[in-house]
Amino acid sequence: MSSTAAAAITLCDVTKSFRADRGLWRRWRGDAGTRPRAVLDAVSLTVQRGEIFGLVGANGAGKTTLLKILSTVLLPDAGTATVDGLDVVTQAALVRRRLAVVPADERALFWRISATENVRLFASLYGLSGAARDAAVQQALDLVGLGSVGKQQVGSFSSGMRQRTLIARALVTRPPILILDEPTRSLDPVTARELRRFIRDVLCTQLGATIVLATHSTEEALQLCDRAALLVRGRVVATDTLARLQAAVGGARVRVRVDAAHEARARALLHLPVDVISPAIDGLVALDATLPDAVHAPVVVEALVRAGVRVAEFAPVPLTLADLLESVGVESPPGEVLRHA
Amino acid sequence: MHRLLAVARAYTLGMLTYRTRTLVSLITVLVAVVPVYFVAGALQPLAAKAIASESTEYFTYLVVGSVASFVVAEAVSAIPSLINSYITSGTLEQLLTTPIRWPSLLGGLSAYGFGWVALRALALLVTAWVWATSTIAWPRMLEFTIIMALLATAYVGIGLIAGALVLSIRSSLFIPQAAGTLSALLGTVYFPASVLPSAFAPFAVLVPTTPALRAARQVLLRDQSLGALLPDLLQLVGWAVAGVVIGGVTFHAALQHARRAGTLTQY
Repeated sequence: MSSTAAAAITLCDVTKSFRADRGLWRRWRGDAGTRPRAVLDAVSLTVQRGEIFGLVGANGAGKTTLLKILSTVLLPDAGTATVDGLDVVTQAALVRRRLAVVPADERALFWRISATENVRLFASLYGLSGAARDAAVQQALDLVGLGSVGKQQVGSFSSGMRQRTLIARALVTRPPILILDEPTRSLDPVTARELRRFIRDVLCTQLGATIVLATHSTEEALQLCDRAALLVRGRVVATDTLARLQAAVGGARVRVRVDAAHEARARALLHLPVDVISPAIDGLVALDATLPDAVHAPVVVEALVRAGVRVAEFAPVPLTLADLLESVGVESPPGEVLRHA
Repeated sequence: MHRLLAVARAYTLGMLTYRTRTLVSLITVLVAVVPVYFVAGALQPLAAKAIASESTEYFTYLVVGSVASFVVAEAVSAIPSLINSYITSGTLEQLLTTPIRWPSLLGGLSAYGFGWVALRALALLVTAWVWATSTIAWPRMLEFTIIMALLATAYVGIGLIAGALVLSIRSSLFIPQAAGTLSALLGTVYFPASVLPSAFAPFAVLVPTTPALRAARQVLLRDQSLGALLPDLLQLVGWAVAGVVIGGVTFHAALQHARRAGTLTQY
């Protein structure tokens, strides 16, 4: 079986353009803003069954547009997209039975009714009824930790609880494919971490769902995704594991906190430029260095200690979206062809 | 039907939490009857001859007209208003990612509104029955309901077209307001077509409210059976079929356009 046949999702040269300004009068006059702007430009990728696949990119990169095409609420201008082997345009009704979407906007819930009723509605829309539906609703709410507050109005929930309600709503029919659009966008760091753990341990490992997740947080992508596609202005500029993407950016980045008195020695060993001055706090100075790869870390620490440098901290610096974007030349002027990583 | 009922249930449960608003709305209907009663009483000698074929009492003539107004207003404005609100919240797009079809979705979302119209209409008719000197043929309520349902179906077509415009250009271009106004002015809601200026009178036949009200008044105020009102009923059925077909095709096309243009959600 080929990898494409086994794939949960495939996109082949998917292209989508929007008019920034839809005013009829301005469009009739042919104003500049009314001309179509490419939001997705020949996007091709494959998501394997059971994996968590990240769509990583800055705001406006085209992540949500891509998810909307997969969830059949948006039609591509060109190219083909399939979910479980079904075409999202010609077999949209069948596609909708195989996936569930967790939107970024919690306003998509019915705020005036309870979490149980919200989840029950979606269970009914997917064809469940009677006792089987009620059991599935309770199970979904229990799974996201809302089983005891299911009778409460969603409007009285915190953002985190609403996000969990959206997930319960998507999970109620146990769809094989889940689409999550920036699931931790409105959550505090602790709740976001809990939710990521839930996505990894429960949704993916326990339930075996294929998950496509859009995010502009590389931290989130690193923690969750098996693979990710980096989207820049509607184009996929890299698709790989996050570890490999990190390596492509240029080795492993570390932060070394040393005694301020030993700064010069440390800089020399780490091959850091001397003109970069970082302020000393509590007699310690922090230096950010890039190692060829993570394997070199113990060697560098040993060299620093042997040279008499007092090392207070030696820790990896997480890959940032900015690092990734810089590595693929996103700073280049608009219109310039981006090089593929 | 299963999905339609599920949406109707969720929407209704949400609306029922607005207890004060619901109560105030019902009280408003009942209070609004008071000035209508006195004004109708004052105008009775003037109106009696013009309305003689449909009612002996101008007050009940107006009450039945008001019920039709409720129905028309709901039919033309419910869908565009719901579409507008659910585009803004992202709910429309969310619901369309599920296996529900748009007719069931719109039916489910509109059900509460029409149920509420039915309740207000009933309250109005009961109040009129208590006050009026003429009788209301309560055993004819089923026939009256069928006529009002046909009237609603005829105007739902306009609601669908307005909803289609909201999907496409985010504006209903005042179509619901225009339809409601034309229905009130030409549709014999407050006065018979015979008192319209001669330039406008011919247009009364182009408004579905005209045959609907003529039949409704005959049934409810003159105790006539539907069989005796076949021409009006057939005309109404024609309007209803045309409304649903034209409105349905337009809305479907607009939904496809919205899927291409990305206007299913807030922009």
